[in-house]
Amino acid sequence: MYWIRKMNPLTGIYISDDKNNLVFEYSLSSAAPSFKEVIAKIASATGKSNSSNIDDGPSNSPPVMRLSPNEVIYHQATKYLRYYAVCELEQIAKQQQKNTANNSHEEDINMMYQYDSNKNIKEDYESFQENDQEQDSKADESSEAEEDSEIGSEGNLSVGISSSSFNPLIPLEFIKQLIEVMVDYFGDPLVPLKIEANYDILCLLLSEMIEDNFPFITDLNQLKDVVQFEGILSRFLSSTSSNISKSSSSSNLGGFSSNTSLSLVQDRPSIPWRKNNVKYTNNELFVDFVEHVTLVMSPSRGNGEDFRSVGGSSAFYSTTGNYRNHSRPIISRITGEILLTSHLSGIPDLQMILNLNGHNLHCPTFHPCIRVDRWQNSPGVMSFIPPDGKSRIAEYEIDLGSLPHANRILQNIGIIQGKYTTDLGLLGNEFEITLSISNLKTVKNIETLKLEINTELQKDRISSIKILRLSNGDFQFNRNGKSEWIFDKNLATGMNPVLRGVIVPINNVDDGDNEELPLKIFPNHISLSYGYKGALPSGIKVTSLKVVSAKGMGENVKPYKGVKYIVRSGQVVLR
Amino acid sequence: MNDPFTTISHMLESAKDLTVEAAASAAAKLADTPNHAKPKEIIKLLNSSFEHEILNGLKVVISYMSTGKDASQFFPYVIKNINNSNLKIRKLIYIYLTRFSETNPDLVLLSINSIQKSLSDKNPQIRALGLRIISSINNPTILSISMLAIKNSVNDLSPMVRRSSAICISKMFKLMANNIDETQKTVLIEQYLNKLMNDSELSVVNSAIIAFNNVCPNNYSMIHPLFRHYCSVLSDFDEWTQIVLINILTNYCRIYLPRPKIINLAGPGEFIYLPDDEFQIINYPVYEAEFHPDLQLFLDSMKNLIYSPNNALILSIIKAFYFLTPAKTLKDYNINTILIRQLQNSPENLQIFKLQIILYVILKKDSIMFQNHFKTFYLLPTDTIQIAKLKLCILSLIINENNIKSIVNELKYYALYSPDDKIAIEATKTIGKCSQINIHWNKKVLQWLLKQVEMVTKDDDVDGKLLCTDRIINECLTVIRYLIQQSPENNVKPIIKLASIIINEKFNLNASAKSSIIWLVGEFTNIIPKFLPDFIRVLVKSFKNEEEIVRSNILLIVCKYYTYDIAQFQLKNPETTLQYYPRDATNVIYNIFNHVINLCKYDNSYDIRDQARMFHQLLSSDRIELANLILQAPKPIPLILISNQPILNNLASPKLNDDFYPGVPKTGGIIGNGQKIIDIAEKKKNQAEEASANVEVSPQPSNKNSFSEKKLNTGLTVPKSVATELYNNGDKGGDFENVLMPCLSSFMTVPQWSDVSKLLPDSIRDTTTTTSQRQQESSLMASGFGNVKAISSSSFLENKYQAETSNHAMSSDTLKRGPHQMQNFNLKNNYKLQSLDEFLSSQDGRMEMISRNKKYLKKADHPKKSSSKIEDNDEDEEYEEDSESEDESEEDESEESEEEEDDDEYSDSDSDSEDESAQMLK
Repeated sequence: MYWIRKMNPLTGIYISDDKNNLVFEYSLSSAAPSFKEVIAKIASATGKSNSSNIDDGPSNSPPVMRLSPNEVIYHQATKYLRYYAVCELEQIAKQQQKNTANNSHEEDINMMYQYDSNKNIKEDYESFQENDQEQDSKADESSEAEEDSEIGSEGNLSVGISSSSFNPLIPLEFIKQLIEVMVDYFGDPLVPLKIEANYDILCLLLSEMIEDNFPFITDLNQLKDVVQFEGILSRFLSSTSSNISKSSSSSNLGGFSSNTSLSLVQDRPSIPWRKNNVKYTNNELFVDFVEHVTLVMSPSRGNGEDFRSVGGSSAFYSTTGNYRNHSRPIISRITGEILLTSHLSGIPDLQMILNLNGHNLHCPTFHPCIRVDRWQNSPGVMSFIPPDGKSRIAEYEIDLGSLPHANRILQNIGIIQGKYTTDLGLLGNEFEITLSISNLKTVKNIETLKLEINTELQKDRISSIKILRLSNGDFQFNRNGKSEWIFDKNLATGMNPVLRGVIVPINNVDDGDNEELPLKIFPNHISLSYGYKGALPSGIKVTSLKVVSAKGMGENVKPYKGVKYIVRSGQVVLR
Repeated sequence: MNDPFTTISHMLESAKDLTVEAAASAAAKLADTPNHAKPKEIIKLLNSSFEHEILNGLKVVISYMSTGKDASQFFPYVIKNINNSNLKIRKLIYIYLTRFSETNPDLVLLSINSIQKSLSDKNPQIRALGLRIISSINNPTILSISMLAIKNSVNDLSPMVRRSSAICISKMFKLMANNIDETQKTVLIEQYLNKLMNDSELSVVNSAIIAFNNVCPNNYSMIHPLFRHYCSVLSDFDEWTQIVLINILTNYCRIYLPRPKIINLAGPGEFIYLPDDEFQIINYPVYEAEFHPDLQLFLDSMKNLIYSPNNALILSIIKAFYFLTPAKTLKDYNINTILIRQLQNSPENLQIFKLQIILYVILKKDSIMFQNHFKTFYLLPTDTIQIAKLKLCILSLIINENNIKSIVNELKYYALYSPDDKIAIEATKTIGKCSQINIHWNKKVLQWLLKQVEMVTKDDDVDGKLLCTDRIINECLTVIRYLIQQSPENNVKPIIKLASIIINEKFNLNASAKSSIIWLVGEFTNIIPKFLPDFIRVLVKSFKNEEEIVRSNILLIVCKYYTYDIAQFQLKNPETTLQYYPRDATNVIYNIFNHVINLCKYDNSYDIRDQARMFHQLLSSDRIELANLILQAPKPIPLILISNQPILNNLASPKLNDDFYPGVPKTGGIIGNGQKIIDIAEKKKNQAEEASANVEVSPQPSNKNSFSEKKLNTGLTVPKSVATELYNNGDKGGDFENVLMPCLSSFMTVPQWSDVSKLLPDSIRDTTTTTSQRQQESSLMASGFGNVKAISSSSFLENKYQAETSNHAMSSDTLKRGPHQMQNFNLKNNYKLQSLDEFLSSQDGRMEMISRNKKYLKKADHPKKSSSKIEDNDEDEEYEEDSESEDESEEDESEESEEEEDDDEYSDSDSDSEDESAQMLK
């Protein structure tokens, strides 16, 4: 009478190292496949696809794979680890159909099958249109299939596309949150060793995070209430002083005595994202703004002819301003996230007011703690009761491309700006990369700065890159097409490093007298990567951060509040 | 000099980080657990009487489990500790049991007793854990125990326990679906689950909703009274519950609410109901959508959720809007911005999903909402081929007059400079697609493509450009062919240009490009007949120096021209027969033909030899019609460009698409209708047929407005052939890229809208009937389900009154009050007198109500006999029967404990029911 479905978004979680050696497996029933089976299936499957398109390396396995007709595996790789989640799709197709037949008189339930049967008819109809032959064969098949227990492809189809198959992003989202939780529990670079040392904790975590093959408790604060982590030793070695005080406090609460932990969990407070009974001796609050710059600049030409359009007549880049020296941003985008580390006792209510510098953030994502209504009424005002510990409270994106002027965009991409010019020199075969790192009071230095000079496309034709001028840093030629220009760590600001070079093609070595017509080969594109602290490219700033009310913190306690602005390059490309 | 040091020091630093970490964890490992202990030692630990030793033993067992080693050997020793007071030990055992309960069904029964004991523990956490353990034991013999456990825990004071009971229900259905009989299912769902779904604690409702979704997602009668309540508290639920609930409510809206009205703002008073195929039907320039108030409520409840960082939730929201509202509302609620939000910073797999969803929305709703965001879909150098394909596909769909210039320029860059050859090829295809926007661009693109072809032929490679263009040359030619084929008459110049590229001897074209051009020129024999003989003459001259594929195509073009000439002869002299066609030295064409055939007959390649013989036979006899059929048959236009169906194909199965996309002719030279006779394997033939069939079905886009026309072709569902393909592939375990699409497409399905035409005749009442129906059912819920005893003990008439009064009372209050309050409210108003008018007006509804009640009574007959006492006895009996089957040695003990427990629990439930009936009597 009732619809029996086996549709399990999560049946097993596997973690392996980067060479696919099993580190950890957690399966929710004895029926779940072991990791060996999973890997074997993946290997055989990717092997197959490899034969068809050779270019995809085995390391580059697709994010979602089908293991068997009703099993799908999701895959996510981080630096040291790979995460797999196996999920089961709906499978009891036949049973369902039988149910329909048996219980068609049940009025209430009938409702739900109406749709399915409609669907069937519709599909018949479509297939009829498509191909008469198929229609015939299908009719045969379906009559046979009803008796057969074997799941015919037709039966499978009508059910496979049913009204409530699960959201395909659930496993992915779950893996993402699992990684976040693991990072918080075990510390940042998650390496296989750390997991091996904490099998029990990880199992306990997963048993809370997955229940009934579905994500259950995934909020970090709630999990911390339920699963205490007593690995003080490991904490000790890899933590700051504030962390130690915290962990020691948590070890007092937790430990092995069940009674204390029980009293904790008894009643969940009305704020689901905040831990119970938070107490700190030092009340601190840190806000980190991290912005990533994504920028693609159009090519700019030197005094030579546009090398990309021969004859300069029609077609290619000639239309986009052949002789203009300016390069324009093609893609320009800033993504930012606001990370909060809250070590505040009791239940504090905070208000943070941001100066958005005229940007429209459209639709940021917020942690559930943020009061969305307040933001909607006055963008820039974030009012919230923070989760305890670290959390990402907001992510936003600014599309600079929507700004009216190119100049306006360039004002908002930070203190490092690059320029890549080709067709320079007497023969027009030189290129130059100029960086300008402007001086800003708040930014002391550039932490890491690296340029990748990409010649992948022409790598078979290049013997080396001859450097004509190099003001700072160090240049390394690389035969695989990814040469690098690396700078010292903590580079001072207010500089204008220049690199000028010429590509030496392979065949040029033979005939030296060909100087009249040198090959004009230039690097395909230059990608920059950098990071610095002190000011955000978007100009967003915190104007005020107030503790509006603090239940349980004590009246005279004035928590320390710190704000940090961090800039990272996302993809900065000069074409 | 400075830099190597920095790099080294950098490396050292990160290495240091790692070692510190490693040392830390290694230390933790050493201190805590003997990870590689022998089984005997582990058993010893598990048998210990010290908590920490047991814990250590369990940790090792867990690490066995986690590394895929066989941990089932410890089963009895682990189970033994199930009554340990330490919660962590219990939890670890719970984890162990979920994994291994099936492997040792007999031993599990040993532990049942103590688990049961824990169900009546003072500590709610232990009770909850006990429930979860019981529900994960897959053993039919404990069915009745689980039923009892659920029964008791549904009324537990602690929300945590109630929550667990919801999970328990869902798991029971999963594990023991075949062992639960219908009545038990009914009780579980309609009594227990329903109660949990009405719970006042949201955390309980969270799990209840997920259980509902697992157990009976289509039992909408349970949703009726809760719809508005759920809408109003939607944002307070757990994010995972929101995902599920939005899905349920979306389906609900499709079935029980009328379609939104689309009101034409240009023409006064004109409106239609939202059609399934928006693209085709809505052609109002400006329109307003009018929603049923309940639907509006649901949509508004999702307004704040779009700020959620949970992508799965976002997908559910998108689905809801996608299926319930027109494109305009999607835009009003900012759904388009949340779709492209964070796109380029997501990990690859997420990006692919997001792009596919966007594609979905574009193909089936509207592309306008993304047209201003076209830069979001530009490629970055790191994009993989999969992402690139999707992005390019989207780009080709969102072009308009304003953005085409920048988009095409960008595409040209990819075609020439992308490090990945495949992306370059895709970009070239996309340029072809974009050229469809208008004639101006058509010409421009054609020019550019010809230029690229020309470029390849140039010897002096000044720019290092050859390499870039070489890889896309075949693609260029295909697109050229496509563009020309649409209107050959207007494109004589390009054809001649292509031909002259070949003839010009200083160009060295690669073989495949050359053969494509020859084939292409041959296709348009009838357009440039005068030019052709000379062209052929030059080709034949260099015949012996050409590669096989080129030779084969020369043969083909000669034959084509020869048949053309014969056909011309027939046209000119209709009365004469073919015998009079001059087959001698005076006829240049015949001479050339003969020459080529002779050359081919002694070719190295068997293939060419065979072909030559065949053509010779065909063409020298009188069966010229057959030859004509083969050689002059119209060839299908390359498919990528015709409709959007292939785009879905493209997504779903790149392989298939490659076959669909005949591109440059292969050895056979022709792919088309005529080829059936000649060659190639069965499969290929089918595909070619399919291709041509497709061409016939979809209208050939005219140059002018083809873009909009193209869109009209998309249906609302993924074409069946694609779906079949996908599933077949899935069986083989073959094409992995295909998995994404079926996942998404199977998620993106909803029930049909309930029939508008049925609602239409009473267009004023239809909204009210649906609501009142819902209310009727809801009151039925409140009175009928919640208080079964009341129904059975009191007469029908009373029940009827009660239903009606509550019916009216509720209509206003459902929204504001929680379900619990609702029930109380009902009870208070039970016997309130009502006015005669109301009574009469609701006559009709009443009749229905009576019949429904009857049905419920019938259904509820077995489990809900007239009083609670009987029910208890029933259960008792069942229970004892079951326990007898349990292990003998355990029997005594277990019975004792059972009785104890039973007494406790039943007194509880008794008092509950007494309370209820007392309330009723008031």
